[in-house]
Amino acid sequence: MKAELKLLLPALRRFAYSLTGSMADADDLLQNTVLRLLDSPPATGIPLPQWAFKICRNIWIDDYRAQKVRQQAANKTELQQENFTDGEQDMLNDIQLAEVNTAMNTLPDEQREVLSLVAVQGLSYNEAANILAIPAGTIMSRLARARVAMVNALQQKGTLA
Amino acid sequence: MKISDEMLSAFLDAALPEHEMEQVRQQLMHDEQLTERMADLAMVDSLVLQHYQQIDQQPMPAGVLQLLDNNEKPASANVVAFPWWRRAQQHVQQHAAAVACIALFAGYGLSQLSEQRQGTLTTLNSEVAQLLSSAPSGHSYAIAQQQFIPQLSFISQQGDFCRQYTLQDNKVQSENIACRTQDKWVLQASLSTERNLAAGNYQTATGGHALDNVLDSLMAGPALSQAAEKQYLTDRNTQ
Repeated sequence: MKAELKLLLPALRRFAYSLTGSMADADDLLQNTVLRLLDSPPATGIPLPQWAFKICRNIWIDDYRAQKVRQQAANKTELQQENFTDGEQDMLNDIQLAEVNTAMNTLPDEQREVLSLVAVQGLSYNEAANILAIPAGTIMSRLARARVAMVNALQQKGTLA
Repeated sequence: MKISDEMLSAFLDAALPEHEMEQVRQQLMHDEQLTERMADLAMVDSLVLQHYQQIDQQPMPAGVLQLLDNNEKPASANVVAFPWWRRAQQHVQQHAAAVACIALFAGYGLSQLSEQRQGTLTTLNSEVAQLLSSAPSGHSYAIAQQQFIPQLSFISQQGDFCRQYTLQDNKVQSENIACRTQDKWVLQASLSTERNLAAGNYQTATGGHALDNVLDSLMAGPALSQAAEKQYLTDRNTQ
């Protein structure tokens, strides 16, 4: 399982980042997810990716959401971004991307997690529905609301025309 | 037919029944506003993915990779690593940290040590805190009956100023890591060993690297240079 989990790490880490909005918190969440997975591997028949994302999401809800880490991160978005400019992206692009995180932080949790699973992880509605234990139709409606909210927020900031 | 945002959103994911997919396609051919709306919705995914992919540019945390490289967790039964990610949600009292250290010490012959003796070397008291805030690494400083030896300083992944240090008396030596969080030094990990003075010198049970795994999981980068540490100590003391 460890080898498979290792291959899954980048995707799991991106998911953690999209949930927490902070790279430091994402790596904390990732580590705790891996620890939990090693202690509680998926039951026979349950795919590891599905189980891993579910664990990650549950830890985020239990430990991070309650701390309002994301709200804190939202207030420090500019600080989070400054270390990750590689010189190739121009400043405007960095600012636009920072606005994405700020907009994500305004989404209700249930919309954020759906957008993370579909847009960041590229999961199908059914796969996301399995992870979140909700109907695929709910995924569809939450995702649409999340995208619309993001469009509105990004248009207000001028990131989208 | 009115195409809702929900339909457009599902269209982007090819999640509509085929006849509805075709309806949207047909309308997109004639409705410029609808096309622009779909483009906006599609851009959200693109921007979100672009933003959160940035974490791929950062190296994977060593502590996580280590978990998957072998069967050991960074915080083994012998080393007490306090879950640093929880620090934001609970203010760890110094005495509580010390008690946790004592309670969880196992191996290294520590069962032979009295709690009182362990406690004197794992409690982060005000004298230790003072030295942590001011004493450069690589020197030995006397505290009552103990020696305080700061070994290195680093910045944690949380951005906190942290230090690894040794405390020892004539019988016991402890290796410790503490970080300054919200202007207060908080013990992150501590390990005590008995000193072997039979041959006129001593040797730790681990060769001084017992906390390496914890360090790996805490450090955001390499240890601070002497100059950087000095600057940090100076800044801290002038705040």
